[in-house]
Amino acid sequence: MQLARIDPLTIALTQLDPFVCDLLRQIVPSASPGDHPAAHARLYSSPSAGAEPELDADWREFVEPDLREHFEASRSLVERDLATLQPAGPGEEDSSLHIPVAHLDSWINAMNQARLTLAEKHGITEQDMRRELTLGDARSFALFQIEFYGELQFCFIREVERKV
Amino acid sequence: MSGTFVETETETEEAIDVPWNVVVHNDPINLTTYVTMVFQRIFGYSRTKAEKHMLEVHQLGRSILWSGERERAESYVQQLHAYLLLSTLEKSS
Repeated sequence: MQLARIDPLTIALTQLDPFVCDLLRQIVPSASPGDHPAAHARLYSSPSAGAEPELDADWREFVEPDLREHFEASRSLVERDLATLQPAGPGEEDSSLHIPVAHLDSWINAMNQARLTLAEKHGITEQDMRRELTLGDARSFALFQIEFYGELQFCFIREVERKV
Repeated sequence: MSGTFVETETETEEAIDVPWNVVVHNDPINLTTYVTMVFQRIFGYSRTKAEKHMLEVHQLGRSILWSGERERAESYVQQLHAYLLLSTLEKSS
């Protein structure tokens, strides 16, 4: 995979093999906490860690809906961009993707949702994050996704902060 | 005796409202570069100051990012949650 700024407003991801394309397409599904209580609690954490029950209740009623809307908007934008993922040329296996720089914040946010949700669902710890990656089961694959999205986040943050 | 003292007492009670701290807690999943960027954006901190707080979170488990009146503290925590950082507000001791 290659990342390049092709003009001041656009980045291009190129040489995306089918495996990487699948990883990108997994961002949005992986970001859904579903009915997993710990994943939901991580995305919508208590503002007082339980010390102020009244504040927590108000937060759930008035703030959580805004956060939910914000997270959904980020995921929707990522889905829209991914819909333009296409083969680099006729008969080519690799694909490319152009992403407006203005969308990068949403990508960073959606990948963060995915990383945190995957970590909660698979019980990923700080020690796991330091271990050498091996593939073989769902938990290892989740750890691989977390690392991959982290690398992409890092590159996108660098692009967002870059003065053009 | 007139009742004017009661009103003064109420005003004093409101005036000594304790400040609230905006606290960010350690989270092994969030990238350090991401945390630094968020601190710069929300609090307008320089990169050096943002990194100092990021390291405090990483090494000590938590860092107080801001202290002051409750409404503004809540607004900061809401913004931090929108960036998916683990943050709380607590009364300053």
